[in-house]
Amino acid sequence: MTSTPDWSTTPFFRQFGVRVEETREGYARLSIPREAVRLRGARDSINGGLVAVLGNAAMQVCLHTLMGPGERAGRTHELTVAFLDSARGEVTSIEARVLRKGGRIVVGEVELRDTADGALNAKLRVTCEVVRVATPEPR
Amino acid sequence: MAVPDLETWRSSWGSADQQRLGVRPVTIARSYAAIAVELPYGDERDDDPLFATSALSYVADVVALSAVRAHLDEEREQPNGTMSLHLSFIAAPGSTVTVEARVAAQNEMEATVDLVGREPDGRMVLRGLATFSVRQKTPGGAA
Repeated sequence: MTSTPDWSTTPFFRQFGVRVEETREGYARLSIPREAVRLRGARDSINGGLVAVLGNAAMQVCLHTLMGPGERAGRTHELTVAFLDSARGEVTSIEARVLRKGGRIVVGEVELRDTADGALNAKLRVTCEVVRVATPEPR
Repeated sequence: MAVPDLETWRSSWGSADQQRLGVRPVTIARSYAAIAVELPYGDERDDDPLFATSALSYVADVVALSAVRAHLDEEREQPNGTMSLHLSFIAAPGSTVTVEARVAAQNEMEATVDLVGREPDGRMVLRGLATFSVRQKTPGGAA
């Protein structure tokens, strides 16, 4: 496994008050407290665009858990969000799981839930790129 | 149609998070809106690929909603939240991206919006489709 970033220090995570709660191979769980959400949408919920943003962030963290030698997590190519219910929980959890890791493409799914009652707020499918990088020849 | 006054609409996009994402409202017309993401940022945000992608994702949703609001008959209808959002990030953005949203179709229940994001030279970096729930207002005024 390659080294993963200290997510808490990156501009995105600092800006939006998102926390990385748990990571393991092919899995990541983030959370965001309601008071950190300033971009609000219908019925004072998390803005729909921000839901997509959070899902993508979770998938990127998840992607980093699978990078091996000669691989680097690449950019997101595609995301699809189904908005199922307004995200208005005191804390919203964002869980990402990899469904399939190929040589160049990783497909995963993400769920946003109200942490208190487990209500499913949104479901995403995200496709990301794996970048091949040259590794030094062993001496 | 409920097309807002252009300057009033533009002035509504100045929150700290929106500024930080580089959001700049461009124009709004009947069934159409355009919002730009000013890139590059010129600081550490350029080294965090999540930042520009996040800005484009956020703008895609809100520009689509703006187009829907400028399309609906405000006497009878109101948007009721995003139902779905599909985004294809065709290329990594290198400069300012203007995301245009056009309402492609609408019925009693939903509005469908085409999204295209281009750099100033016309290079397409984003393509998308969004659907919004539409609520019919009751004659008494409540939706």
